[in-house]
Amino acid sequence: MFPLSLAFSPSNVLAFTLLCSPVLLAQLPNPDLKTIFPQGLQAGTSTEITISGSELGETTALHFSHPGLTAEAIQHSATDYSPAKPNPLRYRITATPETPAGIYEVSAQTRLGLTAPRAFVVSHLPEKNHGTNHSPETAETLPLDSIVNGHADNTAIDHYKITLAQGQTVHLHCQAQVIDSRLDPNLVLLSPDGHELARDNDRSTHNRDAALTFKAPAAGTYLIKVHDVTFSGGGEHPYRLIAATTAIPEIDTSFLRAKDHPKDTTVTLSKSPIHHSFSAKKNHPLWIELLSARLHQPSDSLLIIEQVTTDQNGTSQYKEIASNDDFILPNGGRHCPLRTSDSAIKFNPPTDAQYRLTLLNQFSQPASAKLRIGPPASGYKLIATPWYSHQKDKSLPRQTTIIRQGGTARIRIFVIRDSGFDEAINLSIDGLPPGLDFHPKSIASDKTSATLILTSQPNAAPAHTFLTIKGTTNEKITTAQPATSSWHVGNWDAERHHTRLAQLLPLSITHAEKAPLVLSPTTHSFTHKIGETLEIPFKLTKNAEIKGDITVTLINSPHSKPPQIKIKSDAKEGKITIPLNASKDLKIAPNQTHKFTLQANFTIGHQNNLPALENAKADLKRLEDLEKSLKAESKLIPPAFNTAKKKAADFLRQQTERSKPRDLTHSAYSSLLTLTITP
Amino acid sequence: MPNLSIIAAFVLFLFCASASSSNLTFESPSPITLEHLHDTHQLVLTQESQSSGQAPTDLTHTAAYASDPPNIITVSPTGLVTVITAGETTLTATHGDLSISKAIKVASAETTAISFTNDFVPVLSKYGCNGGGCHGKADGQNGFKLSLFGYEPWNDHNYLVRDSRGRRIFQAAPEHSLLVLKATGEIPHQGGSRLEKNSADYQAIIRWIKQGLPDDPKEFPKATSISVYPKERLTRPNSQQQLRVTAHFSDNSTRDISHLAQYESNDEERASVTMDGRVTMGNTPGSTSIMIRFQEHVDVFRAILPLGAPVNNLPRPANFIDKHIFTQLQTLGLPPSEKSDDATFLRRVTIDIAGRLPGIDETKAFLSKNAPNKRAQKIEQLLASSDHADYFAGKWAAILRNKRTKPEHARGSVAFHQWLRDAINNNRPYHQIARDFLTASGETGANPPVVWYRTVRDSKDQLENVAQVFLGVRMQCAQCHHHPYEKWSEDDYYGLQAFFSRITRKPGLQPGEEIVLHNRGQATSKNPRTGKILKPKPLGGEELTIPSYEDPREHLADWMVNPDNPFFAKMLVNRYWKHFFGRGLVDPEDDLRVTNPATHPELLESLASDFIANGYDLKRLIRTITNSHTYQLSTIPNQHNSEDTQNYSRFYPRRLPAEILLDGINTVTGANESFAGQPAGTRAIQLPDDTFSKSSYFLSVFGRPDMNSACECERSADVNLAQALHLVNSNNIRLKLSSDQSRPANLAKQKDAQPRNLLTQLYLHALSRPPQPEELATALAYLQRKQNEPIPTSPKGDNKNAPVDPILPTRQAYEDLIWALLNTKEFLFNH
Repeated sequence: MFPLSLAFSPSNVLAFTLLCSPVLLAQLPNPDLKTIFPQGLQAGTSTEITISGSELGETTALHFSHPGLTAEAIQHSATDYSPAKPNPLRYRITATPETPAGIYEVSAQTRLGLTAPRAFVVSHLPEKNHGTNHSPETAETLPLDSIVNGHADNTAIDHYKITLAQGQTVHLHCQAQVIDSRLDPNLVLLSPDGHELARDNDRSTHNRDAALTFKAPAAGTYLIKVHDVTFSGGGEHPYRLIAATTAIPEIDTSFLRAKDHPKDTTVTLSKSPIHHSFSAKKNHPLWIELLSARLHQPSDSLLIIEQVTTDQNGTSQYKEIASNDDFILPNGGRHCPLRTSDSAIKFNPPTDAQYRLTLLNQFSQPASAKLRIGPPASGYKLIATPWYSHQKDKSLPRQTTIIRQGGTARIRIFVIRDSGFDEAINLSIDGLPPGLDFHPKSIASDKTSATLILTSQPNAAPAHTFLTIKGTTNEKITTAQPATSSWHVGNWDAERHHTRLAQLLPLSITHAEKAPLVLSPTTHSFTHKIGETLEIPFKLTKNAEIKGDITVTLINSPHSKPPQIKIKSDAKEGKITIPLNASKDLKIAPNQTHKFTLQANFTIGHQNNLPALENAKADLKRLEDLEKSLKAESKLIPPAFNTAKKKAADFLRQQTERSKPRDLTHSAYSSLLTLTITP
Repeated sequence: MPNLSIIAAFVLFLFCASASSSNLTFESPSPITLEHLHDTHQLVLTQESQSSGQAPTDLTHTAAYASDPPNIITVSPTGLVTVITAGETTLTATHGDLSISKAIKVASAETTAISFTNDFVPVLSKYGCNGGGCHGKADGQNGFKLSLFGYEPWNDHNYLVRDSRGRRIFQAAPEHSLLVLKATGEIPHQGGSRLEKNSADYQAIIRWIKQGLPDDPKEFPKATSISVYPKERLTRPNSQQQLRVTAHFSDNSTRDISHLAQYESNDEERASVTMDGRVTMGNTPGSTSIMIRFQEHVDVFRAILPLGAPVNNLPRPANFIDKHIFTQLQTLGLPPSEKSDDATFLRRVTIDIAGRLPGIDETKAFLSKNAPNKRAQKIEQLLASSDHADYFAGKWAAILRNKRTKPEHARGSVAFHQWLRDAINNNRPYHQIARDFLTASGETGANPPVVWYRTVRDSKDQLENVAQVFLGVRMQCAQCHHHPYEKWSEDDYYGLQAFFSRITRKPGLQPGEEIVLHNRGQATSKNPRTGKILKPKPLGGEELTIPSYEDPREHLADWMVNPDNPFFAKMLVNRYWKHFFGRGLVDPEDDLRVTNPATHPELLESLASDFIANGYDLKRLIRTITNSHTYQLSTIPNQHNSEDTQNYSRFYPRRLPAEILLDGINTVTGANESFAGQPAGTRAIQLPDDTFSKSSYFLSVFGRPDMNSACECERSADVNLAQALHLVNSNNIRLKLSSDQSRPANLAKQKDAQPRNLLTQLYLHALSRPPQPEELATALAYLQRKQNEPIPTSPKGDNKNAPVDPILPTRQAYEDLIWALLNTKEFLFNH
């Protein structure tokens, strides 16, 4: 018998297939809310924030994951030469007094749609923003039970001072990773005479934020240093430094966070193995799971099952029949790395017998753990993330789900079958705007992931919404937890990346741009016998300049060698054919139905946000006309006018650069197709 | 404790007033028995003098030998006894009026079967035929191959008898064998004439051929060890000492192998040795050793050469270090220098513990303090400082090869450096540091020492690095052949490698990171040459059977940090000793082996014992060393000890390490140094990893290591021309002196300050002492002269229209004075 760790997993194959679909070179514009400063406030107060990112120039609203948080745009005040207008990058945020303390999320509503969510914190402590504090001499006062919002600068150390009474305990916590910051903070506490007393880098194995608990040996003013471990910094390196007199609970936004269960058995892993005997019957599978790393323990567990027999001398003999090192999870790729060093196994006893379970920490050190043994249950977890294209340049853009008019979008669903549950799961979506449909509607029993393709009607109305994806099995409903990456990654081989569980799964239908190409099969359901040929006719509707040929292929093809056809850019229709000859390459058997999708890959000539360019031109022209009239009237040109004109000219220059024609490689997807093979 | 006995005896001689009588002794009072015709015995004849201050005299080569009856044995002028016939005789050695006799029995005069391994191969080794530069190299020499140093005699037999269709041996006329003709130079031989015709060794070869080229049977007595007589000797300048070497065999027999052993001096200037084991001393006082090798066994003879000067008024020992050092100095007749003055001590101890020059306020406070224990107090202050953690974290980061090969390695290398710094700062016991390091598993952030496994990936490198760093054992040679100067074999090498055989890795959570863990399974290693599968075996220990679930590294750590481990504590104390004295008690400090003995073996033992007894407390060790009178001796030699480089009769000056020198120059010039990716104010000793060795020319040229090796020798302490030129006329130093923020500019601006006060400050900054009156007068005169020079009509730099700075001459004068100070040996050296 193979160890289960080597077991073949069809879901992994599918995920691999999807991840390896044609590489894209550049993408259509995608709004990204990169920074918010400050990134939190005290409940019952208001604060002004500034946001930055890409495609945020026409942001009209901020949406929070908690109703207690609201945003009001701050106006650009009117000048002599420009009217008052909302500042798309400045907002006043208010948190009601009833808003519970916690990390929430905010998404910006832009011209193109909602951005991926970014963390925003509500606290119950007074907050302030940091100033210039790069030396001990300029250290800022950090009152006890308060929070300072700061951000690390490149090759700089932020300094704070805190006054403590003798014996007083302070809990210091530098929140960074949990608020989507690139900062990997180092927190250092120094005595009044400058001697280092305590330092922390990683709060736990799951969280690179820093935390210290310090009891002052003597009354005095202590110095606190905050900096990135490698002294990196910039706007995307915000932090919230909390100084509290009570302990600060740790926040776990990792994918596989786990909770104790009352039936769990507590065990202590160590460098020596621990054994646990049990009897099991054939055809009565067991789910055996060990929780340790997910409980933030320093462990990499190994789980081994041996069958116990007794030889003629009455001595127990052990024969290994299964083992697991790391719990097999869906392949989320680089953008959604689902992994744990905990072990789990669905054990199918080969015979009625006595078995021995051996547990070991491969880190050879003590670590507590929870052991679960029992029949497979119906529990599972769902995770939903926007589709992340595989970029040739090794970048990982921070994607959000945007459907351009008439187009499609994709959402990845991962199933963590963490109780041995292996049945099919039906999918539904709450909050789906009218004119939008999705498929597939279920995840097969042998699958751990699926790609939802959302297809909009050509006349679907613009929409900005947040989806709730649900899985249903035997009338039990499980809500998918959204996930998002914390920041854009330029090179995944060299740059740190982080993806976390989220609260919001935004979806937008935008009319700001049309889908460049719509791929519409004329038939969606096919029935054939073995030996026949599958012909899939389709139409192409183009809304952009297509450059070069269009390549059409199949995703999850019924044939392991899917055809790939090239169509001229001016073609309005096409047909793709697959011979259904009996061979090992045919992945479908008689009486089976196979679901698949067409994919078209092409290059378009794209100009981003032409209306903004026209507006910028018009604004500059208005000022130029005004200048002419001032000159005609022989009036003195005031400095404020020159400033306004320069600003308008700069803005036009930026818009011109942004709107420059660019070739973008893009993909379009059809709605779901089905093929049934009859005998 | 042989050395103690020697010293005690010598001390006895020193203080024994009457010493007119002398006596002779042989190497052993027992009668000599020679077993067969080819048996030999090397005599060692000693005149044990009781005159005050006299070392014993070796008379082996100057005595006259006679035997009665005379036809049983012969005795060469070198004292080598050979057999003529069976019987009993009395040997008498005469030297002047002195004589001594000894009974000798020849049991048999029959020729015996020659042993290929024990008789023949040692001859090849003795004449260097199987050396690495000759036929012992991997491909042999000119088609003739032998195993390196004769460690594979079973292969050598094949090479000699069967290779090239046996053309090297001519059994019908052994003297005409190619092997013999080449070795004696009778036909052209690239290696020259190695063997004297008709010598005993020549005859041994002939005898082996005549006896039919016998190989050894499956079971034959194998050498288990060798021992040299004498082990140690007090000697005199230019005196001689004959050595006698005995081999001990697996059948409990012993045999004189003095004529077959190989001898090599550790220091040719102090002592040379001939092929037959005669040592000739030089005239440099101190100790030295001669390595003796036979097959894979080694022993060492240690010679001590006293100077013989009166050693009076030794200070009261501050601790056991002084007791050992002073006793040795007395033995050698080598009076120590005076105690260093306070300013020198302050600078020295601050550099050595905290890796920086003393601050000006610190210097003033220390010099003005009158407390009798102020030096001890200063040591405590320095040990408690974060500078100490910075400095020693950098030292260990280099030894443990904290490399940043890729930019994404930065988090790991910084974390590892911080881990080391925390360990030093918190004075974590060394055995715990070593265990945590060796058994590190997990991810970089949670357990930073795993970074070492990222740099040192191969299990061979791992064993070699661990053995060298923590045990002071260099195993590299044993990978391919038995270590020539050590007892370690290939099996020892691969047995040690087996401890690292179960390490595996998983990808880390982030680029450049990985997770290190134990991969269950039987820990084994394969000797690639023999194909033998080996279990984990500690050096000098027994093979271990480790359950497949257990990480073998834990077992290695158990053995390593056991107080009985013969290497672990000694290695560390020796490393730290070298840090503070510039020379290890064993030197190189990470090469502890029988054939590289300590200059002060008892001191090394005492330091190690004290270290273990006090919980491997690193700061306590530093405290012990730096509080010793020995450490606080002056660099300035007296009339006797200027040549001393190994007895610690004075402090040996050494160039400042690159980082301390750069930081010091920045301190004195007031310059701001910036290092890529580091915040302003970062000092060179705080740099975490190797990247800055490459990016800073200064650090590179002054020898900051690239951390490619576990050897501290990678850090260059040399003084070279590139360094001198850099200090004298580099743009880097010029800019530090001439920037508007530099100290010269600031000093020049202080118009109201007394120049003598400013100059005094300069000296305190640079040399941690005020200037001597003549130094001050010279500097003042120079300053005055420069100030009296006419102000230049055009300013410096490109802007010819800028106004001329009236303080420019003063500023330039200070630039010159600081430049001069920076280029003094007093500044550049720790002294």
